[in-house]
Amino acid sequence: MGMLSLNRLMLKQERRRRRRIQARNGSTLVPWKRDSLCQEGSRPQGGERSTFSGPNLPQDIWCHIHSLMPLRDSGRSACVSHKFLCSWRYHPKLIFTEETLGLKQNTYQTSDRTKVFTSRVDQVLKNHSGVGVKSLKIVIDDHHKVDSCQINSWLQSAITPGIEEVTLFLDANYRGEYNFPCSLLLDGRGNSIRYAITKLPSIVPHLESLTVFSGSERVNTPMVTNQFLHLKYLNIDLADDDDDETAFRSYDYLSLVSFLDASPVLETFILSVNQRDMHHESVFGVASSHLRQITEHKHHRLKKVRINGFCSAKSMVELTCHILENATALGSLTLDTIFSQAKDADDTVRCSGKCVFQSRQMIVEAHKALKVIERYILDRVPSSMVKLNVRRPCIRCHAIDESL
Amino acid sequence: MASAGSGDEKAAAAAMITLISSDNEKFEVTEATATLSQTIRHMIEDGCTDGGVPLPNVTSKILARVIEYCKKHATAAAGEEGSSSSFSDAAFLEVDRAFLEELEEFDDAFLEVDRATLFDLILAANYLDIKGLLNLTCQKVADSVKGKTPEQIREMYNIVNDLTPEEEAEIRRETQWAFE
Repeated sequence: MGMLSLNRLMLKQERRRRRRIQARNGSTLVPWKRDSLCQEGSRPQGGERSTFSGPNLPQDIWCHIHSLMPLRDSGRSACVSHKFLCSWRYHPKLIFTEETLGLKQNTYQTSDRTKVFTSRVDQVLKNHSGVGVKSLKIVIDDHHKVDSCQINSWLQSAITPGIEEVTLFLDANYRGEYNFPCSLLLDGRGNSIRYAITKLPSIVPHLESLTVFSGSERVNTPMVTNQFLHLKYLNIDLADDDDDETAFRSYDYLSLVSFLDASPVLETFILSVNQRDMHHESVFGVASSHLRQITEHKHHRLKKVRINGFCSAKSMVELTCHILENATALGSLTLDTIFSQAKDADDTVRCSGKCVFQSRQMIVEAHKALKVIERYILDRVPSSMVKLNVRRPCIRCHAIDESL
Repeated sequence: MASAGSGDEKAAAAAMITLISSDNEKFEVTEATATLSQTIRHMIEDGCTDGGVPLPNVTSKILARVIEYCKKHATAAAGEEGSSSSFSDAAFLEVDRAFLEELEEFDDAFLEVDRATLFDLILAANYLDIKGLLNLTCQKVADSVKGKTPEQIREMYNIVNDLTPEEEAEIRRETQWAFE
């Protein structure tokens, strides 16, 4: 009985799955833009000029038909007409395997196969419009020795914001030496932090170490239900790369607590903020500032926290206070008032002469940050447990008149 | 599934939709059948179906075929939803499997049409936004060009080559690998 129920369930799931696939396929219709290169010029649209009296299909339907064709068929039919060429250029499913690239026949010596495989993938990607790829799959067979950089350059050219599915099969030879460039998925544009916290727990649930860069985070990091159950090391890099540098001012550093909440075994948290100027609401010079508190969760495993580019922003101070109050196992807290790129610069003394250039505003801001640390942070540090490491601007490279 | 008929009809009697083809022929269908089309579903939701739904892009010949498809697949959908009924598991499994096979046979037979009809069905499926039918018919075209040369494809679908000889030669060079 149990088995039968299971079978029935599986059969139903199979039907549902087929439906879903159908539905998904249906949604792959490429939205057709009039200005795209396929509507080339004034040439009479060949299809329409045909001599028979039957109907003809518009470009978006040919694109859909091509998306249902194997890669080779679509490529071979590219020279049928402009519509076919265009459908090929916008093919949404790029599946590169020995089979789809026509390498299954024994016409090639094993030694040549890598070269042929590589050149065919190159050729297809070079001529692809670079738009509308929804699904990318690359299968590297064991006898191929495709260079990791080569693979990454393919990923780079095919992964665009519309991508829905990326599959990369590598032989065991690559194990240990190949790193998937996750940054392509979190492309540094848009709200990468939000993407990372909402999508990654389900995509890579076993993630242990994560570095996310966002050059224009405008949306606060949301609370989520999915968790990074294995994440031990989290590095978040924020910058105000947006043309409108004041746009970053609305980002609430305290919202990063939801990332800490979502990572119950996190041990190391590094936050780096690289900005040209500080536009956030500051607590510096404010007579009394009400600091918000989130008391929901404790972070029992968090041992090491480093904030690189600590500033006087109210939400930054709130984040730091939150960590001090809720990271029960915290052993070390480093607050660097200057954004520096040195990876493990835990010493209080900077290596003079090699410091990153800082704008005058940010050096002034660093001095404000130091005052803010004295006023808001020092008292909250349980001195017996937490080693507080405050890094000041470099006395040589960042010297300015300190009178604020 | 066969027993589902009378009950369904009774329930749907209140909700019949009239579809009007381009040549002014009227087709009465149940709402369940009609709503396989997202286009019509939205019209129903917006309350714009009184007095019939004119479909100026679809001829009566094609609309009849589309309705045939929708009726069959709407029954399939209803079958799935009502599947928590009192059948024993074994009987249920049989019915399900048999019905799936029947549906596949229906689809295969449905696609036995000439090229012009196939294209008309694609256009109608696209216009009416019936995803299942669109995929079914487009897949048929995709399968039909498998292993064919560009010349054969042009001939099959009466497509005029609007590429200049230079353009064609260049594309041939670029996609040479696909011919090997």
